[in-house]
Amino acid sequence: MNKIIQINLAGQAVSIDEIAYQSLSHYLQTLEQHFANMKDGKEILADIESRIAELFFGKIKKGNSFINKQDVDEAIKLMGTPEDMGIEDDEPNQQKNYTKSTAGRKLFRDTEDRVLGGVCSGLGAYLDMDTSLVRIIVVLLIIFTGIPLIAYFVLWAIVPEATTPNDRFRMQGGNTTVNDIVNNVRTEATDIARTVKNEANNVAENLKKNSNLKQSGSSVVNGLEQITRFFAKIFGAGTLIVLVIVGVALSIFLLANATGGLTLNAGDMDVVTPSILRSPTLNWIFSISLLSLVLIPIGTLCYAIILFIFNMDVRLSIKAVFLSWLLSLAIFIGISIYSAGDVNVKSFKEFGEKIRNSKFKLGDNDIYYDESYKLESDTSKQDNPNDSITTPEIKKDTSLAELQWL
Amino acid sequence: MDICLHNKMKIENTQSQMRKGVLEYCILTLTSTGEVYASDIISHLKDAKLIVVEGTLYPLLTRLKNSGLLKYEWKESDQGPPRKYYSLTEEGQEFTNKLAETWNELKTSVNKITETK
Repeated sequence: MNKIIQINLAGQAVSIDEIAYQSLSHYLQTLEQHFANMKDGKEILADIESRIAELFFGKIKKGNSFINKQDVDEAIKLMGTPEDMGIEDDEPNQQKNYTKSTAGRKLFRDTEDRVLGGVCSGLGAYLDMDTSLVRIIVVLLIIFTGIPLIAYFVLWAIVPEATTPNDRFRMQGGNTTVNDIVNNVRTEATDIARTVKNEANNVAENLKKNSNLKQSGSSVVNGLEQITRFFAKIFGAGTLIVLVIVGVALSIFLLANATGGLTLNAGDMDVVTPSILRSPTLNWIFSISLLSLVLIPIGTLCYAIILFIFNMDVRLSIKAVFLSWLLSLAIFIGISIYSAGDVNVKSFKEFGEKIRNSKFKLGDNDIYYDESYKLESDTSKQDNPNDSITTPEIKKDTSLAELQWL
Repeated sequence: MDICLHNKMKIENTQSQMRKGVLEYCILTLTSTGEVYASDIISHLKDAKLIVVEGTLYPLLTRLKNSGLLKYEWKESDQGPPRKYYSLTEEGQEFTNKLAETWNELKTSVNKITETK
């Protein structure tokens, strides 16, 4: 049996069966592509949607309990194909643009082909890669660096699940290009300019007539709202940049800490940043949990800003975000309490000193030296009692650290 | 009997060019009666066989509105979403009057030519 779903069409709740919905959304998408590069495309599309909603409303009123494929076909026949709507186009070059714009592919989680959350299969569809290949890469990266582990949970939380046929269509759809985004922004900007102009005209006219004051008032508000939104978007973009910089800096620092220290170039000798905790394993868990603790809110905020800037529908599972944040908080608190005595105070002191007087005296934290340093430093590290115990692990870490940062 | 495809396309093209020119004038004239809803305009145009599908009208209305000839007002509807009711602006009224003059002139000219043929 065909599933009945509730959709929102031009602000109206419409019950529609799934097959009918598929063909309706396909039709609307074709129109959207057709009008994508037209100045007034959005408005025209809204008019058409609103009219279709009205036609459906009539069907429901007649006694149909939901909209079926036949109703959709009728409506489509009545409204006509995109080609019918283009006849008034005077600008000949627009014809070319229609074919250029492709349906944007959207990142979804493919829960029909999943191991955990369907993130990998969704990514595969998005990147046009084989799902198994994505999975292998992700698993290898998790084993060797641990980084995708957070990324996986973050994506699980924020990427919407492909639930409807339309979602699946968009998941596998055409190619998203930077061009689409640029176009989106451009139409937005011209939209605003146009609205401002129109509203100004309307207001002037209405004042002249001295009537309809109420409506003109609301038009002004409407125009102001658009302008405010525009500036809010610029502000949002600024915030986004700052957040990304902070996020990246923190990630670099913490990941460096997790995987073995960041090599800084001080004078003619490299200095390695100290690790926060002595034990490499604890240090790794500590850094990763702290990283997700910080990155989850930053990432969520960035995501929300991006959605806002590009007028995308907000599909964010706050619950999942919050839960994964709580999880990292719990791990962070746990590890902090467990390893309070393990803080590598000495290494920090030495690091500070090293930076201050650039004497290149090597500290006791020898996790990060490559072999050549080790020979030189052997004399200066008599004070590390853990040395002999941790050596095997240290070596492994060293190679990793080199892999990543050298 | 057998109009070849090429000629058929040519005719269709010319027909649509002719329609296109008058369509704007017709829409403006239909709107000059006061506040009209898009589907009212459509049913008139359909009766006159000027357009076949509704979709043709929306881009036209939007363009006329954005060039300041038409304006609209939202009205609640008991048959679904709120409707846009279109009416002429002052500029649109003048524009329509001028088009009417041109149309009458054209009509006379064309009649003169086709009748004396």
